[in-house]
Amino acid sequence: MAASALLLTGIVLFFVLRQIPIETIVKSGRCYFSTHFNMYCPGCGGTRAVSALVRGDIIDSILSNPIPVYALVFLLRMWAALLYNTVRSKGKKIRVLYDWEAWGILAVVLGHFILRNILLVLFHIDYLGDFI
Amino acid sequence: MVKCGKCGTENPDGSIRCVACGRELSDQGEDYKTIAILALVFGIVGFFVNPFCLISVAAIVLGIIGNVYSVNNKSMAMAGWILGICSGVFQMVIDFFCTFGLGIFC
Repeated sequence: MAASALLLTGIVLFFVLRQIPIETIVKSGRCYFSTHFNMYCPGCGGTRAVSALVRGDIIDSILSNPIPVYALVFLLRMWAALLYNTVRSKGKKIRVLYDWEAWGILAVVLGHFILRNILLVLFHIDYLGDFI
Repeated sequence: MVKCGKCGTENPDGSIRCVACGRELSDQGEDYKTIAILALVFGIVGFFVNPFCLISVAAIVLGIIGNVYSVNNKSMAMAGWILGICSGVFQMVIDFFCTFGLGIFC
């Protein structure tokens, strides 16, 4: 039941986001952090990343912001584990969530934040083009 | 000794099931530890990435679940839901006063 609900939610979101430009749902423009510190916040590029992901451009999505791709892989693995545990109700179950996956969320968010701003500040490399 | 998360009975090390209520002891600690970790992570991340305050809501819900059911990771779960509340309030203040939008996504 949980696996089916997760999959159905993902499918509905995918088709909705493909039809409606995400920029009409989420306000575009620079956030408070980037305006005041002249650096990217951990969420910067998230809207563009989701837009690229629903168009199928994985590379562009990761370069804009890796959080949506990580979340997608993470949720797909959870769905597969839930489905496996439901089908194999009497056998050994797979863990739906591991500790390293949870810590990985923090690592992806903070790691990308640090890396992107090092590239911006020290090497003047700006993939998103918001500052340079 | 291994403490049962359901009834609190102390069981001998290596026990597979609780001697009092029969609940499996093998992976219960790991499951709620992971939920506590997830609550803490969402609580921290919610200060930076928080579309529709959903990350804060997730931190609060998971933190409360972890705080109630976890045996050895209550403090981590509590930190998660407290940070979830703080990040949610922070996000709403930023949204209201600074952008009138939906927050962090640029």
